[in-house]
Amino acid sequence: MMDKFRYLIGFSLKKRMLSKSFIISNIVMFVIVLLLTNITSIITAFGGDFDDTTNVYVIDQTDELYETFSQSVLATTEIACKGCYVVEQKTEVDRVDIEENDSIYVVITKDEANFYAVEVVSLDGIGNNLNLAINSTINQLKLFKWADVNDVDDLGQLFSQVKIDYENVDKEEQEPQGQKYFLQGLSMVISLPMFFLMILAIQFLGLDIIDEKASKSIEIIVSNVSIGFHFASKLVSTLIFLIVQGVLGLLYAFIGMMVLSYTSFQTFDFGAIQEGVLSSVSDPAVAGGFSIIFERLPILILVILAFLVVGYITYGVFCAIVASMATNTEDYQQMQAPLMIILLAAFYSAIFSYIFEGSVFIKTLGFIPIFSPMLAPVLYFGDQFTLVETMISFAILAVFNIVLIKYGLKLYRASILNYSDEKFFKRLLKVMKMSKQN
Amino acid sequence: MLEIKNVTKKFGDLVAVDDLSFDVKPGEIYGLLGANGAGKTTTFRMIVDLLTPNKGEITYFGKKIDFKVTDEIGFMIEERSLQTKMTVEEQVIHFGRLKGMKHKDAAEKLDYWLKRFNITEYKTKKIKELSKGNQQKIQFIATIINDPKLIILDEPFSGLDPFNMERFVDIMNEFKESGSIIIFSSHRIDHVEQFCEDLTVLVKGKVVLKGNIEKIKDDFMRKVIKLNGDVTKEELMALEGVVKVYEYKHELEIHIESQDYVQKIFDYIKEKSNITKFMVEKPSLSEIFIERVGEEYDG
Repeated sequence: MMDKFRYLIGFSLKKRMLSKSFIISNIVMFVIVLLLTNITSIITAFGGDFDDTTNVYVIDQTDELYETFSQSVLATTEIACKGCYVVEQKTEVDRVDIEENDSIYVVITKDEANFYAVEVVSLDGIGNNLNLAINSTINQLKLFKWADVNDVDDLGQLFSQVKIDYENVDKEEQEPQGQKYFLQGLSMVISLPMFFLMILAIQFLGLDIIDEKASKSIEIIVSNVSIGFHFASKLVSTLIFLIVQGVLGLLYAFIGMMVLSYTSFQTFDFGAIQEGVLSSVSDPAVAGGFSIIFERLPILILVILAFLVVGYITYGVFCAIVASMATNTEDYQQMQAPLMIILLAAFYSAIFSYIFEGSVFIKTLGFIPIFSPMLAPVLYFGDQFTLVETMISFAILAVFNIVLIKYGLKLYRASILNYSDEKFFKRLLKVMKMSKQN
Repeated sequence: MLEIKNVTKKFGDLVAVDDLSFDVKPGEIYGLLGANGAGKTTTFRMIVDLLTPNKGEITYFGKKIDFKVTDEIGFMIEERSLQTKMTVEEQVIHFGRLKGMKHKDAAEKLDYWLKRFNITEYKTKKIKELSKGNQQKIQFIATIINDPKLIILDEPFSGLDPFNMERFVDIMNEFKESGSIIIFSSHRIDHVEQFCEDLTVLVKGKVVLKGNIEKIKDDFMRKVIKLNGDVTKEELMALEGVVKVYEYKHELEIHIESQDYVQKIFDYIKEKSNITKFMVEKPSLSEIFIERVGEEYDG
């Protein structure tokens, strides 16, 4: 019997993984991940307007701003586009130059109300990047002028941030506040791939079952292997599929990062990526957050994987029951809608856990099996669940799964050979009644 | 031997099969006859352990049928049980593997049967590309791919033309000769009458007729006399023991109450002129069915 069980798992996997849809969707996923991880290099490689240098001429009628203004505008625009603009001083607007060379003229004059007024003359408008730079620079210069007029010596005091010290009496909660916020924000990111993987796995499982049921080949299959084995083979094959698809997703991301590493650092080195990420973030809170992630990576991966696998079984059993009750693919698509809504609710609860930090309601949901697979890892990641709470949530989920499998298998056994096309609840009641009889 | 002993299956208040008993020995073909909803499919599902009887017992050579013996069984369901997106090769080998066969053995057997049915060109075709008749052949091949010792066929002839039906019957007879137990269902009386030695007729889950077909006919009191000669329907109807007379183009068919009246009728007929035919026949199953059930069989 174990040979047949193994055969069924292999058969389901082979059927799905050698299908055109799987190959095509993975090629598309690989290309998208590669593009996303290397988006900056790709945009730069393709070129665009930013390849051409635009001359920006400043006509400073105040005779006091040119140097500061030009340096500030250049520095600000270079963040997004290095070498896009050349800033020079001129005395008057040359309209022929504007028409022929697409030059931009910035005329700064004195203004009684705001100290300065600016007029921008161009052929057909200026880019957002330059517009923002001009705006922020002139308003900053206005502030300096105001300080000068009002004999304010230390303007730095005006701009400096008020220092907030966070002291946690609980010695176990010594994580810097900024890092905590960063981690919580980032934790939302993990719920998205979990959600997609879950949807993918459930679709795989449901369609696999309904494909066999709708074609009636299920009768031949379950007359040769027990319904329990068939049920388990579907769960296991989909779980393997889920893991393979997850690993493939990570592999694509890794390849993307390697390509990024090569194009950015001219070396294939994960350490270089990590160093690059850490050095590229100037905010100490963000850098600290990344450090924590790298430090906690093994336990985070373990928690995510554990909830992904056990959580999949929860949703998988529900899905298998629904698929076994359906009579054809269209029927299944309709019947699985509530399950998708539950999954969506679990996903949104994970998102809201960041917005409503510390919410008792959301924390409670983190212990409820249909929500916990997606919510608990996010709460742990965002430091809203302790490791102990996470383990309790996991234990509840595991026990729930044992009960679910026990009763789910009875329903599955009763419904897999039932082709009733009554309304869902009528059908469910009938199947429940039959599960007790058969 | 396959034994079905006092089997009852209920679905809620509905009694799908009521106290059914029969047995089939190796080398026998057994027929289950009944209209839709008679309980044939439920019986088959119980034999292959897809359903558990509420009462009674089903044994195969004295043991309960479980997954230890399913590799010896070939089960063909009424409707097409093929996954239409699969190729013929994938589908048949898949079912063969589920019967515990090795891939290579299943592939070899498939080649043999495709050749036998003269449809080798369909091997790599998808099931959905085949006609209904050819799909039925593939389903039959998938059923016998493991050389089963117990063959269960639910409406095997549906969708088949007479030529292919004959081919199916030839193969079924080969399996019968090799000692397999064959049990099949049909809603067509002529099919069962033609291919089986023994049968059970089910009506709404209840057994209305059971046993060896020839014996059933012998035991049935009424007989049929086929007659050709200068004699009228009215004359015959006036004779004692005559139940009905049907007038056909070239002959008259006289239904009599029992064998006891044959001699009397013969004595009357022999006095008539131009008698070219006087033949006493057993009644058809259909006739017996109508007599027993009291209504026209609508299968």
